[in-house]
Amino acid sequence: MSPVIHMEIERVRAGAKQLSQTAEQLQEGCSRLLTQVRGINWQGPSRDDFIRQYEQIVRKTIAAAEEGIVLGQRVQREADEWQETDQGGVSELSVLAVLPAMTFSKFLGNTWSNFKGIFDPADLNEGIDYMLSTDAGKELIKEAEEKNLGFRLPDGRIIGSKDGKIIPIRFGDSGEGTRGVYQLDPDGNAQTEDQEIVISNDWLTRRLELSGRDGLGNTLAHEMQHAVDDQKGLLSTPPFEGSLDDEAAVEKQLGGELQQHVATEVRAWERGSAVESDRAYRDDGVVSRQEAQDILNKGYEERYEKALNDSEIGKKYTADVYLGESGKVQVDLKPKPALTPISI
Amino acid sequence: MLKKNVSTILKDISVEKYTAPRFSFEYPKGGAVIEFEREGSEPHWRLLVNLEGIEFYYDIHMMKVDVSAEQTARAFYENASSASLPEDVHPYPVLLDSIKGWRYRYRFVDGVSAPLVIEALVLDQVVGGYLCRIQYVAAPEQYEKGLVIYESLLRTFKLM
Repeated sequence: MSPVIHMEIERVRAGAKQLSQTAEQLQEGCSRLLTQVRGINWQGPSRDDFIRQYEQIVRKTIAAAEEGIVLGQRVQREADEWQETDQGGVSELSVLAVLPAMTFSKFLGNTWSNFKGIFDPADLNEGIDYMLSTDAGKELIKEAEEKNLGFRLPDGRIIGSKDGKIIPIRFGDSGEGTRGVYQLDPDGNAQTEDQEIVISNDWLTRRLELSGRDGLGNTLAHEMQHAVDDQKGLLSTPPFEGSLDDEAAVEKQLGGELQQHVATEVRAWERGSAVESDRAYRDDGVVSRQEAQDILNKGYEERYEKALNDSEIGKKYTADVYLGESGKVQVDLKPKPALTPISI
Repeated sequence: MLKKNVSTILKDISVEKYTAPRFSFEYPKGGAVIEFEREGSEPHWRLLVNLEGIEFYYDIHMMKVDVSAEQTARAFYENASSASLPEDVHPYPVLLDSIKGWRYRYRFVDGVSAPLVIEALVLDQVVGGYLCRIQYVAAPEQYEKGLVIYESLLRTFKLM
């Protein structure tokens, strides 16, 4: 610790407070600017380079602000220690060891919690605790327990059934652009029970999208809903035993599988949203036409088509996925025409 | 990355013309166009092209909606589920050779498999009560390669 010659304590504290407020504004500014920059009406390769460079600047800015906060903490401790020493009559050795941290914590109070997320994003326990504080989250865990399903956090804590099937939850690479993923079969071997939930540890995603307990609780609840649905047998269909040449049978099988996928997405989005906004979870057990259309319109329609067109089926057919009159997901297959490769 | 200007590329390749009741467009010879009949739903066409060994497809959706092209484009863009990514482009107005509309692009990830780039143009003009959406979907690593066909499709697209 550097020796202090003179200190105007209130001014130092005011400066530290200003630093805190500036950091909070910085978070909001970074987030707002990033949205604006991404929304610029400009398309082309140079734009993508520009956006990536801009993201790097945002990262550096946040990191620099983080260093500023640490410096602010040091100044605050110096001020606390100076005040204690100045007041005298207190055992320096016994109090200085604990007081700075306590005073600092009290001083920052709510201000710290407001911008904490950007420098110290919520951890899994905080997200789970938030989820469990909501009715929608409690119901989800009750459903998991009824199906002998539990979830294990990295510190060994288990939520749900402790004696049944346990699905680990961890931070990791969940895939670019995702906040989380329920991995049905990470090792590619359907015989092994190796499902897991991975929550994104991407630097920006954690600071801008998963920074708060409620946002993280939403993502956890979403992925845990998929796991509960899986445990209930809602993600599996009987294997297709017909011939790929039987177009109508293949269409029926695929339509059924995709309907199940849409249904679990409807439940997962609803669960996550109910947890985040701490409202009642609504599920009447029926996937309405509007609910299914909302999921398809999120890009799942294109996702399903691409998956089918890239699979074995796509060698024989080209697939169109849509919502039929009945409100159920339909798959229309057309024999793929012969294409002559072209070069440019 | 587009190494050549689209109009230059189009001059270099043979094209064919596809004509439907409400629109027409040109596409590289060797490709094919398929019409899907959607049960109780809106019509949909797909252009398939094998470009240097990779198959790309481009969709033309006719949509019965009672809102503008801009509102439709914004609804599709804002409804996208992906986390906001650098490649995302909010809807913006475009004026091409013979069409006007709202163009956007976003990344889609379902959390399990590889992400997609979804790019679309919703045309301003309403034909027979339909709005037309011309869409290109590709894996990110193939997106730039297939973009040239999408650009040529947009530049030759005509509503009738």
